[in-house]
Amino acid sequence: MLEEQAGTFSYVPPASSRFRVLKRSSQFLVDKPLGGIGAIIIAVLLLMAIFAPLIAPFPYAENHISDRLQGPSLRYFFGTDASGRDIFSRVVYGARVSVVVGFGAVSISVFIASVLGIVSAYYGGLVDTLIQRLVDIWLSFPSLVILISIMAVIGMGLSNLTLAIGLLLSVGFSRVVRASALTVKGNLFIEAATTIGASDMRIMFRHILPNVVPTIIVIATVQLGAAILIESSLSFLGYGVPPPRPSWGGMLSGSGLVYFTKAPWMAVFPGAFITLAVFGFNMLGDGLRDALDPRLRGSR
Amino acid sequence: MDTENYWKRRTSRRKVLAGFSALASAPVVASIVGCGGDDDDDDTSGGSTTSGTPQSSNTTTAATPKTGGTIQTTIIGDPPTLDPFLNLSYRSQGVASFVYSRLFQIDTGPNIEPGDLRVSPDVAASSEQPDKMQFTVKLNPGVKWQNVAPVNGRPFTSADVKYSFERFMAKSPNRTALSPVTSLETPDDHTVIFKTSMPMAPLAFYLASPTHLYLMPREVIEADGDASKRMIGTGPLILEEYQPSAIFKWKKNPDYHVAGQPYVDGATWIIIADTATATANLRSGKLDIAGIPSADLDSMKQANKNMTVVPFTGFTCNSLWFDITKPPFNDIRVRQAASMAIDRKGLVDAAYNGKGAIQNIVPAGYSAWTLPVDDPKMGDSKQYLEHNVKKAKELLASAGHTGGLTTTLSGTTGYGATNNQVMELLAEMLKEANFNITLNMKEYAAHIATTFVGKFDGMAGGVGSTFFEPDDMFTSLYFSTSPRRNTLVNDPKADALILKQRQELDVNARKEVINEMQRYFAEQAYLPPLAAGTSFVGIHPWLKNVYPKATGAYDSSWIAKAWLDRS
Amino acid sequence: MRAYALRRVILAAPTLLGVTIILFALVRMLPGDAVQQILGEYPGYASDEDALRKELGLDKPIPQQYLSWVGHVVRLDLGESLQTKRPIVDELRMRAPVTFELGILAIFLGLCISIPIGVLSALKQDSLADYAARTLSVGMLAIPGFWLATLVITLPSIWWQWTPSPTYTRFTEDPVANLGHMFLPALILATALSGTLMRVTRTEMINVMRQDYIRTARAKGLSNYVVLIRHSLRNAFIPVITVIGLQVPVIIGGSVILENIFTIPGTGRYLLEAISKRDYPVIQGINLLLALVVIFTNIAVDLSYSIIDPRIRYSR
Repeated sequence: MLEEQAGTFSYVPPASSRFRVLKRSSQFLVDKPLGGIGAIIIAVLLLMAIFAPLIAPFPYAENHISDRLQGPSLRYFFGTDASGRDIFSRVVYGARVSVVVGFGAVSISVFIASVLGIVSAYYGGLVDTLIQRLVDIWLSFPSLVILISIMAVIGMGLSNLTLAIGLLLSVGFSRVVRASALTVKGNLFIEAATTIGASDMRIMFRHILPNVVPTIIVIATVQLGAAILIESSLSFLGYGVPPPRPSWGGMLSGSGLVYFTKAPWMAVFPGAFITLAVFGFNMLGDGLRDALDPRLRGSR
Repeated sequence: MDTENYWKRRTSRRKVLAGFSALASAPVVASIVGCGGDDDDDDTSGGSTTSGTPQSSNTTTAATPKTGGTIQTTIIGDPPTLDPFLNLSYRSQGVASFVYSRLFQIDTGPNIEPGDLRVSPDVAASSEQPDKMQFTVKLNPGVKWQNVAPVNGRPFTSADVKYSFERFMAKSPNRTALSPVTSLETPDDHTVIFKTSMPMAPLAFYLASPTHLYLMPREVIEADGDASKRMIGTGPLILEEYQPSAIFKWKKNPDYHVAGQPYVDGATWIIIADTATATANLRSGKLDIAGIPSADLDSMKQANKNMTVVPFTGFTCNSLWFDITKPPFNDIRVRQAASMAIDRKGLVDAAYNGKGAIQNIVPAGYSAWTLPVDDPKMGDSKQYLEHNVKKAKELLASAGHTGGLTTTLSGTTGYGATNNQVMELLAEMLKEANFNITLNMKEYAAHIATTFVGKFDGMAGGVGSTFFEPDDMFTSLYFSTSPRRNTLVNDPKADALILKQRQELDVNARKEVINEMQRYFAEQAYLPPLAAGTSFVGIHPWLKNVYPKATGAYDSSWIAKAWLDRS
Repeated sequence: MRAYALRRVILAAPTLLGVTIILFALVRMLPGDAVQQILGEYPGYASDEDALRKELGLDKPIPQQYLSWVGHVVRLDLGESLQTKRPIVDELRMRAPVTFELGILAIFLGLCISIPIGVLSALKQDSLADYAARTLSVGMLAIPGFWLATLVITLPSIWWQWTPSPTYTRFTEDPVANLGHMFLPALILATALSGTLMRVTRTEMINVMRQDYIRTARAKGLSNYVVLIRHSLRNAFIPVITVIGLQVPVIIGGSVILENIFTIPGTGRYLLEAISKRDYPVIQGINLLLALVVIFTNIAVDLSYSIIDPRIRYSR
């Protein structure tokens, strides 16, 4: 056991050379083609969200009833919906909802999960027990159900939805962080750091956190996609982003399903963007994980 | 794109597989899924049009009914309770109509339109009206309770009617409809006399309505406290098994009072919560009869060329509601402006695929009572139901809102995509007429507890309540003491008109009063009507002698006359 | 170990207590309480709000309501549904096994799909097979379950006029028909699950295989197979188990949607209906039951850590 862990003991925290980081990220696209594709997809998504009013040819709520249910054309790139609204414009504006929900919820989730998970694993004992009991309580509720309940209590709306999804994602996430941190804590270099008198904060956030980051990144990227999917599931049950704001999930689960046999493009395009976005987040996450994991560094 | 089914183009195998053995089947008709009333999931809800073609094209060469077989169809969810007096959901009422008889029933047949709610006897044999305040019903002496403990097939008598009536008046949310009945007398075992405090035009209808007086056995209710645990009646089917969220299994009542009926051995109701699943199962033939969302109509016809599709118009009062207890909507001009901002034709085209009807105050489904908006009898009131943005802006300005009126429009996402679409369309239409609308879509339960009972600011709207009699509708929505008002109308003239039409026993004279009410309420714009989509029922060719009514899923008594021919 | 297990079970008691308090509070925080809801939708249910409140026992102070509820719960009495007036325990006795069956099937199918592909993907890192597997796994994650389910039901009905049987059959009546009915929804639940599991398996396998002790094991001349099973997979399994534990509530949540679409009489449909009707006792009862399941799953997961990886010890 000892000799097996000797290698990890010699681990040095990531070098701080900005130049190397920069160089590495430019290498990223070449080294990790899937991750690169993911990065490009996410970049496009972000641009769409930011510049939505410039990109969308029509306001997202503008009806053209005489042009309803038209297939994709040069005027309406993705066709029109049952009210004759331009689906392309709605998809573009829908990117804003996805970005807000996805990044908002996951930021909340990452923050809470890191703090809870690492503190719980590091201190152990009573602190661990207390935190884990609270986590247990929260985790005991089926996710979708607790979400619907939260939405019903705080009311529907974009920010409430983001908060609710963030809270939901964070607690389970903290479990994984804790499990990962427990493994890290068992390593000799933590014992060594303790021996040389490093402060708790320093050990937790300078020594344990960097080693947990790969796990956090993997889970956080999954969650970015998950947040978008959760929104669409909630829409299916009638608890998603309420009209008139267009969300991909709402377009897919609502009128997209109703008109599925008659005008499939109403579902196909928002559905494709959900799939693309989830794909992008996950691929980017995978690539980053491989690139950032200190133990993998220099291995190729 | 209209008649195409996109997905169908992808396969040529369909030509081989399509077409069920195309028997020269007599298309039949039935009504199952219907307008949803308070808790339907959109799509098949609502009613519509200039109520379609008479069913002549569907009439059948009268064949001898075959016996046997099991009819398989669907209900969208569990009934909240099996006791129809405890809940008005169509799920509770529709299930009840299998097992319990009523004094009268709503007549069905090949030449009766779905919206024609004429009344015919059920366990009654005949009726007469000796004077305006009395209604005598003779019971069919051959009626027996189902041969199930504790009633064990004992004869059905007038005492049973009296017991059910008294319980109805004590329990049912619909009891106000029969509140003018002061006493019910039973001079002998087969005679029931209703005495009323005022002449009551809709009395016979209420005794036939699928949401009112079901005849239920005293023994069961006294033993169980209510009828939510067992269902034993005098109706065509006996409940064999109910597995919540899965299935209802019924078998035929061999002692049913109509000789030879029911023709089938039983029926299976599968509880399918998801509309797309139900539609797919109708398409595949696993369901014999079910509602079809209008967007799936083309694909359904394409897959099932011999299916009979019956359009009908529902009775749901889709409308705008206002908070008239304070400004700005206590001003009639502001309400009129909102009503004139609505492009009802646009709603039909956009939300209901062009298959629907512009509503008047009395929804289009009441084919006997509604006035088409462009009927000359609407007089000057017609203008308030017509799309006129310019006039709407003028009215709004004359009420002092020259720079536009900022307000909210509340609704719920609980009715699904079509209602959401209607709400979004309404918001856009109102914006064009200078209303600065913020759409406030609530979750279903919050909507029902607040907005639906008049607790909201500004405007609200969407799917409303369902009624089958104008008296019921006006009383519930407009009478000053009604707990079911969406807009808290409190208008002495409205109350007087409601009482007037109720007491007018002459049908034509009553229709005149109701015409006057439509003119008056259109002008007052308390609840500006919207539009309604046509509902469609698909019936596979092997299911015969089913003629849907616009009462939809509220009434399942068609099952007695239906028969199957799968050969 | 045994002491830890015992302590863990005892510690579940306060968790359960916490669950009951949160449940009770949350359900009562829902806007539009049951009374208004029932009177709004079904006016005439009772003469007025106060009468109905009294009939439903909602007129008493909240702590008293809570205590009386807990008192009944301890005696396995969850009360009656406000809507249907049927005892909730009876209803759950019928429905819970259905949902559990669906969940267990989904986990089983999920593992069958994900572990082999995840391991393969890790062993052949950055190969074409790895890319294909990763794309597949992400694809599985990226499609909403309700959408996949609708496609599975709708497209065959259009192409071949075929749908899976809508009629649910109890396992005890006809196991084959029952499994046939459950297979598709379980598979759809398993798709998303296996997407997650596949990624975690791959990540952890790569992680573990880069560890020096694995290198050492290889250097010692142990065969690839032995290294894979005895060392790598075993260590990689901890996060996989954690994720499965975490996915249990997600699976239960997902089953809400799939039970609706596939006509399965489980707890999910019951719960959804109850929430939309503000049927307090039902919401509480189901949540309590599901919470119990999840709590014991968590204990099992925690215990499994130290069984699989002896380095993790709980005794202090």
